[in-house]
Amino acid sequence: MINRLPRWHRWLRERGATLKIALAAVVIGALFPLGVSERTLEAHALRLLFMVPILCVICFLVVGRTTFKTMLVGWLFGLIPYAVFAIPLTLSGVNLTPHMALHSGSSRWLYTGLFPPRMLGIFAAGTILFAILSPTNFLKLGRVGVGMTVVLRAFEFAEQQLASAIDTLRLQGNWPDSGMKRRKRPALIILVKGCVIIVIVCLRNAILWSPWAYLSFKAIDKQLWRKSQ
Amino acid sequence: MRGESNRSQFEAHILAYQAPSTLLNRIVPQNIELNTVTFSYRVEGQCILRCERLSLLPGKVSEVSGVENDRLRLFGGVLTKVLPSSRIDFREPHLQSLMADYSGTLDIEQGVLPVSGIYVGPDPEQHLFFTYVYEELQCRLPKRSYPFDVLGLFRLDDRILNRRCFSLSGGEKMKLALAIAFATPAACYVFHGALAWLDKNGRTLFRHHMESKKHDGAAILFIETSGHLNGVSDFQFWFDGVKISAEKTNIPPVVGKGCPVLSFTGDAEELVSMSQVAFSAYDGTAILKEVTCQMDRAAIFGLVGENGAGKSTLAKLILRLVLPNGGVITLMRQPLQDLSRPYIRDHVTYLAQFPESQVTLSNIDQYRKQFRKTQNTLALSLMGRWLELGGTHPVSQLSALQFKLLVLISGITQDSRLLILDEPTWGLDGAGVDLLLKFLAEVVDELRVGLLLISHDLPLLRMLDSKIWWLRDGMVESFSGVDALLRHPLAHLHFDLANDQ
Repeated sequence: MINRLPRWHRWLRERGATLKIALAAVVIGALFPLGVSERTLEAHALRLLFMVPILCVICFLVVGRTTFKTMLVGWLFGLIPYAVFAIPLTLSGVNLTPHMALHSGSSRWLYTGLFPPRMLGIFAAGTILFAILSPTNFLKLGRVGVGMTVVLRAFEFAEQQLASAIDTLRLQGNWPDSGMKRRKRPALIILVKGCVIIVIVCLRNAILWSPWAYLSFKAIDKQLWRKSQ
Repeated sequence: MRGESNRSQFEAHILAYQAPSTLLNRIVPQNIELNTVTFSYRVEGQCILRCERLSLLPGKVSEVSGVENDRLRLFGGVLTKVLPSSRIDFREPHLQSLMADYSGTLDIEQGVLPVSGIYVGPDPEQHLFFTYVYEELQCRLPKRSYPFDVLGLFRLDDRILNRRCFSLSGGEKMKLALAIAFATPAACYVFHGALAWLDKNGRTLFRHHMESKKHDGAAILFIETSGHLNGVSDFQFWFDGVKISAEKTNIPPVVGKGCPVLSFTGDAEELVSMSQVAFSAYDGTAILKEVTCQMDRAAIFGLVGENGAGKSTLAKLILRLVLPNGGVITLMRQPLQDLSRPYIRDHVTYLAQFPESQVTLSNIDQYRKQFRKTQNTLALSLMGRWLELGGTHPVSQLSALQFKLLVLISGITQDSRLLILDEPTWGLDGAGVDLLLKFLAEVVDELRVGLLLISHDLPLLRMLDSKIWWLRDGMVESFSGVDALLRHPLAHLHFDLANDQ
């Protein structure tokens, strides 16, 4: 209900966009096996095992339980097709990367196993970046900045509409209900069908919101320009 | 040096504290004794808005009443220069069509527009542009304004500074938008449909700040199509859907004139019962502490309380959209947690504050098809009588009243027992409110449903002879009617019927 912002989160949000994007790029870059060979693969694995839990904890603190859970669900869904392809290929001795020569079976399995935590780290870093990236960061960039702010805010607006769209679908019986004891249809089918409607409703509302917001942001931009003089 | 620096900081603080009025005096065009404006706003050659001899005088309040539609927002946008005065051309055709209504041509035939203006419209979500409250204040306020002072203009809790704007209640959003508007110096202020969102304190402070701006020499335009603040306006204008002028033609009646009486036979069947219900937010803040109340079928209940008191949360508890931390809720004598969602859906219909998000299909035809598929003949017949629109009419082009009717029609079934309407009158003019009440009268007559109206509109609740639930300090107190509520020793602190007309 009440979504309060901790002070340190606010401090992070108030930093410049360049710093935030650069930090995220460094963190995400460190998750990739750049310049790693079979000999240093274990050290890279240790680095990942050290970084990913820290990123997950920060992500949890920044975005909160609900969004963190959604991110985890998205990550788990992505793992299924990966496992379907990667496990048989590794079993048959195929090298999953063209950038590294992996001779031993254990190295190949290690490389295959490192992909999921790497993706989790990228997901977490991306989610943190999106949460701390403030639309106000772009307002300083003139007309292009106003456009970027409107697009970013339109996405945020759509995200905000998500809660009311889910409530509506829940009222219609088209979304899994936390208080429901008996269900006729499995929750997964209801979820998949509901997701399509949610995306359409949220995007439609964000599009309808955009024209007035664009004009208002232009007015705010002028006001900020006057303030800076 | 340090002493001097402290002194200059102190002076800066004092200056900032007085900033709104001192800056305002510099901005207001003092040499303009009389400013009447006549203008037309054309989109693709067609005049969609015309304003004739509108008085915008420094230190005076003009009031516009009449028809409520989207063009009033354009009117506010033109006066405050949010809308461009000439057509904007976008390279992308989709963008061009999206911006079509907002990229018209302005022809000013007489007078001048105010040098600067602030517009606050009826939908507070359209006036809060940033994610967090502190960001909103940081970007929108003039230099040297203190956020806490601005929040204090409407007695908003300092702790909301770190909250997401969308997590505020409707009333809190409107108060925040108004606080930002009043803290920003301008020559002209346009307030449109703000009253429906405000509790008594909000209205009193709104009136006070308006008087103070008036005293400072700003021109104020007050657009209210379903109510008004007594004794504030110096000039009266009328809007007939396209034209704003002093002539009163084709204007809808005041709310209640020609409105049917919603009569009940006093069926005593228990509909909703709450016993010691408690609800806390994620961070542990207690919103509802110990709610115990009961609602009978075939009765109207008005749920009143201050902004942020938890009125909408109470409705969500009845709908099981949120689960209580304690206590028992029953719907038609059955524990709510044991009921299936289809059962709740068939018996309870909900109209949210912002009904746009409740519309999940794209056009009217899709709704008709859905009603046929679910064999909901009642909804089909209601749609035929109350919402006669072309099949391909996109829902994005519906008016506020049509949105509300569509949500209600699509939720009502033969088994409906309870309608919950959250702020049903905002965004509607007198004719719109009357039409909505007529619709409700028909539904009540046909289905004998109970109504729960969440509203600040005491005159409306009195007109409907509704029983009252007063939500205060996390608890509900029941009253037999508005008059009984007003006899409560503390009622005068929270309600003021004389000024809330």
